[in-house]
Amino acid sequence: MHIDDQELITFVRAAVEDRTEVLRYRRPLPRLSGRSAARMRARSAGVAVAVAAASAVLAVLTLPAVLGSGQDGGTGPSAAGPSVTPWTVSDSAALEAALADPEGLRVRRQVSTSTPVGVDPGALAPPYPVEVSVLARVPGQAVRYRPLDGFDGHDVRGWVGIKPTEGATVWLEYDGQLVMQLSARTVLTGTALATLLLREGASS
Amino acid sequence: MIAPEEQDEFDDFARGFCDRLLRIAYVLVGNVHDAEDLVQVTLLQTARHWQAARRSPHGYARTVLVNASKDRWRHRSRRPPEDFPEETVDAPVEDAMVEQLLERDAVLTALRRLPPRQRAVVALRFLEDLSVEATADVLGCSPGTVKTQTSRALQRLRTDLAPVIASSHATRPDGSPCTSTTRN
Repeated sequence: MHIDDQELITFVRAAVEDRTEVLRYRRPLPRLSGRSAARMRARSAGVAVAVAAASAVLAVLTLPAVLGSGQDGGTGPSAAGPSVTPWTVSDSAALEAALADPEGLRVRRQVSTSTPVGVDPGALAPPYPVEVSVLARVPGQAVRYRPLDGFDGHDVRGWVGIKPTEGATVWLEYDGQLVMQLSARTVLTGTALATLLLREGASS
Repeated sequence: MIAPEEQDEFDDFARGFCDRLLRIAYVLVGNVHDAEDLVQVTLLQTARHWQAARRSPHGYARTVLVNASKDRWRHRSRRPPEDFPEETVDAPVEDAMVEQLLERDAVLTALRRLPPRQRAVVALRFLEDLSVEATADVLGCSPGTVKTQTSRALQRLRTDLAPVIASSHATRPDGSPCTSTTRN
């Protein structure tokens, strides 16, 4: 029996549309990021001075963005070792600062419980805010995720959580010594969080 | 600050296109959980780069979606399979529809068996009605590659679905293929 292309295409299209017409996207729609929009406008204007000024303002705003949230107990699985107070990073600069100094993050975990001036958690673009904790080792349920290896130029190996109960969590292991756990509530799965972090790292 | 009309513009786009994106994503990845992840990442990226995307938001979002699914294809081969079972979309079922549903599932199964690039070509060309050139733009390849992938995909689908289509002809007195459904 001969089936021509058009008949095949019609058959496939009808089948797919029939089986997917009940699909509805149920997750919340994102909000535009003011920071990104401002940066794009500055770039499109081609005014280098404006870019520099915006960067300076951004740097000032993000300096206090690595802070303690005051939630003892952390968000990580208890099987991974001693729980620690998670810190909240609110943008790529703060994330980079945390990635660069995991030991310092661990040591400083008791220092700050304040909220950074001018940062409204509800206005942040996903995946932010990201909660960062330092653990003793990678939890047993984590799944190896090689694209995170060397994330943002650091000597790390990556894992993600893939079960719904683990939420959006990734783990970065530093030299087999320290493990940084990053969790976000604005993303649902570890792989989605990893994808966003990788893109954020690539675009910053 | 985001101008209210700019946010409204994005909201209109996202609300109007998210279901369509989800269906493309579903064809690309084969399950609802991963499809929703892909659409979420796509909308976040589109929102983040709205100044660039707003000129052609549908094309921009399609490109982000396909690129995100490419990342997934690459990563999936290197890590253990996720424990989501293969699934079908829950749809209301009546007895008279069972035969047709089996046909539909056979088509989705055949699509899942296609290599990722061929699956993307089928989704973009025949479900989204994109031209060869527009599909090449989204996939970041040449029109010649799209034509080749299209030809291979159709050949493979023809082979896999021949029994199903023959059965469909046999059960329909007028010999017509399945009736088409309403598009968005």
